[in-house]
Amino acid sequence: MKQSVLFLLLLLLSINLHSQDAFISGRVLLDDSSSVASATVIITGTTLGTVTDSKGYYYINKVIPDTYTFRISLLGYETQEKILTLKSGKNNADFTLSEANINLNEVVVTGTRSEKMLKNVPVITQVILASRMLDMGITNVTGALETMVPGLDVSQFGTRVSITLQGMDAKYVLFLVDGERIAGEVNGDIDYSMLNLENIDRIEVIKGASSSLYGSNAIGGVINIITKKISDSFEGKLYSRYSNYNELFSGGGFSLKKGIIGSGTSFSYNRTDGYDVTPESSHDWTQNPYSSFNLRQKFEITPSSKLSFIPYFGYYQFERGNVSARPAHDFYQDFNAGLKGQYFIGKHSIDFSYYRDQYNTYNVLELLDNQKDKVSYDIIQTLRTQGNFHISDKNNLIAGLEYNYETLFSIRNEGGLKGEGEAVFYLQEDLRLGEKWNLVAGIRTSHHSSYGLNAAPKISVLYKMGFLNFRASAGTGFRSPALKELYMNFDHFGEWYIIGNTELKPEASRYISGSAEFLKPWNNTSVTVYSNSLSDMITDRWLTDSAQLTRQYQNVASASVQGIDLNARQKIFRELWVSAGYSYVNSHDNQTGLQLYGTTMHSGHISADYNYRKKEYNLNVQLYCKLMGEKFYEITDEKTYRDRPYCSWRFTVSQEYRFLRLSTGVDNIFGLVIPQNLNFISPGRRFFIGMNIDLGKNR
Amino acid sequence: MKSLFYFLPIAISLLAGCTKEDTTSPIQAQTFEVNATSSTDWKYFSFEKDDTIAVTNPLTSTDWDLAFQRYRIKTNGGKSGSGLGKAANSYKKGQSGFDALNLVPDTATFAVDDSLKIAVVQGYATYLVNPELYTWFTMEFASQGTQIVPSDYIYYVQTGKGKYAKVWFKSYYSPANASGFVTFQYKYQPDGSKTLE
Repeated sequence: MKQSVLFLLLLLLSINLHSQDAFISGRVLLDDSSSVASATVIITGTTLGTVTDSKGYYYINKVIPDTYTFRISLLGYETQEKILTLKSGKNNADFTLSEANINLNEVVVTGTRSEKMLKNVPVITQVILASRMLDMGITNVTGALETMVPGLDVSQFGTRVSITLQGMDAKYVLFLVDGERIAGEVNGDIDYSMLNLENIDRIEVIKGASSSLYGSNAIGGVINIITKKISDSFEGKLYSRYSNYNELFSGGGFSLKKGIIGSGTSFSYNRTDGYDVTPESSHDWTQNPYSSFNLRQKFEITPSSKLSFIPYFGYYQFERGNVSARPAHDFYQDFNAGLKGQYFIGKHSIDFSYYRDQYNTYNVLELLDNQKDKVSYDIIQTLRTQGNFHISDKNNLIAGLEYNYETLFSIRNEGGLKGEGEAVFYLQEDLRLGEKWNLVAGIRTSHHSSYGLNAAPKISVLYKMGFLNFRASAGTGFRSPALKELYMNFDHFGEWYIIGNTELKPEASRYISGSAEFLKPWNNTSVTVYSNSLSDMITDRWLTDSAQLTRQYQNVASASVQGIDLNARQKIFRELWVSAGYSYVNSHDNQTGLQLYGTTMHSGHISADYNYRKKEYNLNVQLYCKLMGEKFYEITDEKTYRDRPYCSWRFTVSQEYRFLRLSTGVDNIFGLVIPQNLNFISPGRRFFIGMNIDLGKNR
Repeated sequence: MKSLFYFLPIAISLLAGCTKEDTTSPIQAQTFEVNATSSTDWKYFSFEKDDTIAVTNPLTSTDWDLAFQRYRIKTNGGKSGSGLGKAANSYKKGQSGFDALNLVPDTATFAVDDSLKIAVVQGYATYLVNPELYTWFTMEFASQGTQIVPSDYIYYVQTGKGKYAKVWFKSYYSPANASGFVTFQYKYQPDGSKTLE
């Protein structure tokens, strides 16, 4: 211990020994030698980085002379990495960026719990850039996912938004924000309106259990929302989008950096009057009226080139307008706060984090002076430390320790308040074998307070052959029984009951997938085939030996899911691109022989977009079509139902001049209305207008 | 403007009262919330008492007029009791319907209590209720659980002792949002006539 303290002190001291330091300066240019402002220059493996000024110059000082990987990135351009050896004193390096509609060098983190370029990651990852979504007039996360991810569909039943990925419902999909779980799930679905696109940099989607380092629920996939980094220069953004039914999405964000402290603030306010396409059930609207508010604050503190801290917190509230027969309406609230830190020791680093998220639900009693009656609260806490060992350029090891604790209070729970803890150890080896092979193998072992030990291994391989990438993954996943499934005690008008089962064990899955990817600046096409088999699935079944009608959760079901995913993007000429996605899913409940509840066998999208840029003017025109096949809702002992297929069109024109961007568009161009479809809740043709102001660009 | 609508019927009824030289004073509309949260016990209500009453033998007593168990409602007649209780749907709705009904028409089709076969979550259940009054609500399977939505029909009810009332079942939820609390508004004519003003 003493030794390590001394070591720390020495490291901190060494930073202040200016005589040994290196500094580097240079320019970032485009292909045509014009300079690039606001490009980010980062020295990976350190906390050092900056952005270029208006003439494209950058300057970084106080660097310890060594060999580093420099990463230069800017939205809309190919990210570049370059290895440079810095000597003490003055160094100089210029970088050239080239424009790209397909950024093959984009950096992702979800698949391997470490930063890796998209084209080099063995776990196939789809990236959705939030800025691109805002261009299309999409302001919420579920809208972005539904638009961009084939095989993911979003349905809405009155007040609840629910997602399905590759035939698996939200219980099997792990939703994360910067790698942390989100409190307040209902049947696996979190409150998606908590997530504000303005605050988000990108969304990373990994299908299947190929990323089992994330633990419970990562059977069907992981969706990781990556929030924006604080940039070195002042940034200020305001946006607003208005549509029919008095629907307003508005918000903004500011970030600035002074010395070692950076601060980022974002906020949003959304509201709508709602609508009902099924007037025969007048007390259950298709889209309920609501208003919501969201505030997030993040600080980045970098006391030295070796150390960084990120404290952050957020608040969210949501109030639903009452259209029900009850004298009460919903009010939701979320408080989250956390601290992340990273410390570099040579080429290695240690991450540590603590995170707490609390989600409260209330009934607002309208006849009793709008008194708030607490219905439930859910608290998730995670404490984690992760070591990143850069053994060599070809060998990276990650080891992590994690403790998760969840507390749930619900009036539907036996005894009200329940808590469960889980201690986790995970290990991952990332090995590059020559220039062509990359292997990532990992295991996650957890000890849960309720059902004991569980281990989930995985392995992923990437083989590169010129412009072709081949990937294969095999892994096991699991889903811990939710607190609700363990302890529920629900009384349905005294007619029948649902009760929990403390004897439950985790659901298990085995996943294999293979994919091929074609990568060229003018075309990016990928094909993935996969198979997922699930056992010990938890479902509620009627008890036969009970005096009253009672359903209880049991590990009784098993199922298998197979499918194919296709993604393609092709340049037609100059700035005209055509994209298409298609997903085929065939799921099979081994007991009933039916498709899993909520499976859409065929789904996809096709879109064309045109981009025109001249000096400070930028035009983006997009035509997008979503295609949905039949959606299956079939259970033998209950009702059977299928949502009919449809295709829906959207047209968007987005124009940007200097700091102002104006987006206009029409959603559901042909005015399609399908009253009973849960995954198509549009009230008909809708126009929208949006405005974004970029205050940072006017400096 | 709205207050004028409320005022008008009162003004007219006052005028009518004057010409009849105050032989009958207009009866008052009452509102009552019954705690029918039990799934096993029935709560008995008397219009005369304007309250729930204790009944030792509901099959022989004629003191009770309506009985409540969750959303199920009985009258004191047919298979449920030995009184003269029965009910009829006026097919008029809401406050305007309630105000417009001044007289029990001879054409009203009354029904006495009987066994009603109802589709429930697993198969069927048989409830002994008043079949006319079983239309007072619809069940809407909403995202936040099933809701009982009042149909807002106004019913004519004959009491255990043969008197008349008009009843509007307005809500199934208490101010604290608990289910099983039936709130109803009614006008009860104690003189035995069919006039409900």
